[in-house]
Amino acid sequence: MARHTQVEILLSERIINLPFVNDALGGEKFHVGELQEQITNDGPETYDIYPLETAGDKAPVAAVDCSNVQLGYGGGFSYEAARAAIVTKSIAGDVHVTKIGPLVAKSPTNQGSILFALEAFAQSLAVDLVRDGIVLLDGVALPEDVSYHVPRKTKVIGLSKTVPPQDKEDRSFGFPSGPFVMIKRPFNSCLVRLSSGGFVLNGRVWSHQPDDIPSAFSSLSRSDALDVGYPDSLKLAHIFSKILPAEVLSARIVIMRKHGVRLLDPLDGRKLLLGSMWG
Amino acid sequence: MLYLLSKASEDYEILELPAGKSQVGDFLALKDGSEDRSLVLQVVHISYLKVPGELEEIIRMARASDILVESQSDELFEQVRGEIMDSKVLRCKVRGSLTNSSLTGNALWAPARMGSTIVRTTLREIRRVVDEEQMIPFPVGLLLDDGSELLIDLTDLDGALTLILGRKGAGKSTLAKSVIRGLVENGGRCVVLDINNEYMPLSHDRRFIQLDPGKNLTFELRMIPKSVFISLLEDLMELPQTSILEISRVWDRLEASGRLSFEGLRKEILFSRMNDYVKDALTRRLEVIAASRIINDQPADVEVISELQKSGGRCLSVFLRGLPTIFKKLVIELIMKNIIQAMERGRLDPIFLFAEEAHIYQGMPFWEDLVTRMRHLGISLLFITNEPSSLSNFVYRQADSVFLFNYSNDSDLGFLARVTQVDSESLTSFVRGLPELCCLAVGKVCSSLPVLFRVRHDEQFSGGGTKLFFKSRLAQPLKSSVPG
Repeated sequence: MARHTQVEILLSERIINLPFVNDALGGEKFHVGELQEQITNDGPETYDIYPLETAGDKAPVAAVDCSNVQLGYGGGFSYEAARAAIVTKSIAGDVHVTKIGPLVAKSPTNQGSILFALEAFAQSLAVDLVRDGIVLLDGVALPEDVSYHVPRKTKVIGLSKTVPPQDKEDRSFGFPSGPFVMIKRPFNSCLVRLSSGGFVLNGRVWSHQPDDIPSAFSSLSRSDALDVGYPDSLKLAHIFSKILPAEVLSARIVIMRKHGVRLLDPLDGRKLLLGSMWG
Repeated sequence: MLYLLSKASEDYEILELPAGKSQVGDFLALKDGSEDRSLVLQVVHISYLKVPGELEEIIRMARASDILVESQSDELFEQVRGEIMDSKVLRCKVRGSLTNSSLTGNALWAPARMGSTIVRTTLREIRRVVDEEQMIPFPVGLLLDDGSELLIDLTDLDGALTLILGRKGAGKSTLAKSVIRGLVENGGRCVVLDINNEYMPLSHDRRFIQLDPGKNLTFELRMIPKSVFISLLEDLMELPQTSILEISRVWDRLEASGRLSFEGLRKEILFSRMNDYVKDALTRRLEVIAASRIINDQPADVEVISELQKSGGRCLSVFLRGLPTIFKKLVIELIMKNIIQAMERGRLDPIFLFAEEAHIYQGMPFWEDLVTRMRHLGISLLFITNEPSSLSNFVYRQADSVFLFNYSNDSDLGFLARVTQVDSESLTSFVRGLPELCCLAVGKVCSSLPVLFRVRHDEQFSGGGTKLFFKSRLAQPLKSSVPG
């Protein structure tokens, strides 16, 4: 799953031996994304607003988030830790979290990150976990270079935590006050409010049926709990993927115990060049 | 493993990673690099290591508790992460310095931060030299740190002021009884002012004598010095000065004619010519004394001074339960005046006086006076009380050793922190969480090292334990209340 031949994955013997990882590492499912190719970028720019339908069936949801952190430098190599979390929520409301990692990647300095590879792997796993459901991703861009097979009835939705400008006190400012989606065509980028009173978010739907965007967001708004308009499953995925300082410390200790490498703190170029006050 | 984290004043912070079974009161030896010296540290507080992001970690754990979380991660990583989150910081106080196995109370040096090593140690190990030098070692309980016996040197109680403090039911009298037995077995003479009549040996033992006021503890008037009797009437019974002068004259007259007796005194006052108010005041007070049967004309069954003069160990328990306060005061006044007089005249060897709830039957000026003179008189004083504020600051300042049982009340702890020799943090930390029968010893008896131990229960005494209604009820088979 590592994209760079010089990247060595550490701290993951147990993970590497998991059956689903073995399948993934076989490389059969990794190929250039098909869904992106379906977007046609010609035609006039239009903005269409659709209200979201609150009545209808629910769908299973799988949310994916990944995080990474620089552990430090040692022996001429850079060490990075990354973790993915997949949160599935059944129609009945049962929640299940799968954490993958942290994986530690050792690479020559500045030779890239394993984050995108892990992210793509976790997304492919999520697609397998919720057939005909919703796969929720953090962000509105798919990982580069990699893609995975998405069944026809599965909807892949990306939501960005970077919210467009809006008034915190009056969240209806400039937008409909109820749940809606505004689609910017031909790029199919969206602004969406999933619940009344919730924030307007940047969103994206990857689907075999581009006209299916309003129904995809409607289905999401019915299927997941929403906190200020943000899906709870995606929030959980973020919480469980985040690599906390105690885990950074633990990873450094394990690298020292297992590989005999004492890591130095990552260099902070800004602080080095501008000083601690201005860096 | 233990690592030196930081030092501030006399406080050291030690990191325990991974978390062990350290508990408050444990001793650590901080060995200074290549030097043959160690600091003796005692754990006074245990907290978790402050880890950046710990709040997020805990919230994440809380979220994980109600959902199914499956983790595919490295086992060693998970283990280390758990160890870091569980690691503890032991805040320790310096209790002294060990150089060549010799313990000194002060430590004017600081160990190397990186080159020093920290090992667990025990009080027995620290006090090895001290224990070997004990003259009359006596086991009073089991140390909480390693379960070994705590030996105190009974000579440390000799000529000393000792305080035994604790809430009711905490184990004060259990400790006192244990100490009494040790003293008696080693030839000591003890007098116990027994407020609850609980210092009764379970089986007959001629060395333990119960003194029941009005029964086997009486005082023959003829044997009481005039000054003692007059001060009884004056101090305890608030007899006015005119009446004092009158009875003093009567006393002298009877003594001169060889007719001094309690009955003689009463009749003389009844039939003598004097002011009616004075006569009435004297008669009423003598009636009260007569009703107590504490002072009469019969030779006492047990004579306190002569009992204490006998060779071998002795324990005289003065039963005070049920006596009206004025008679308690009367009895104690008489006994103490007799004892002090005998000691001043060199007729009595040093004794150990155990005073339970001393404030009830004597004012603090009396005890402060006794504390001032105790060493010269030969009285080793042990106060036992559940009200720490009942003893004066003067008494606390003079105390050589203190045994502290559980207190949880903040005002009690605050008071004790001000008056005892232990720093307030140690005292609060140690004493607040002490279980029943466990106590903190500080001062001379434990070489100035605060020591936590479980009091040894002495089988030789009965009584004293807390009597419970439901305990006996629950011991019986429960009858069904369901009809049929």
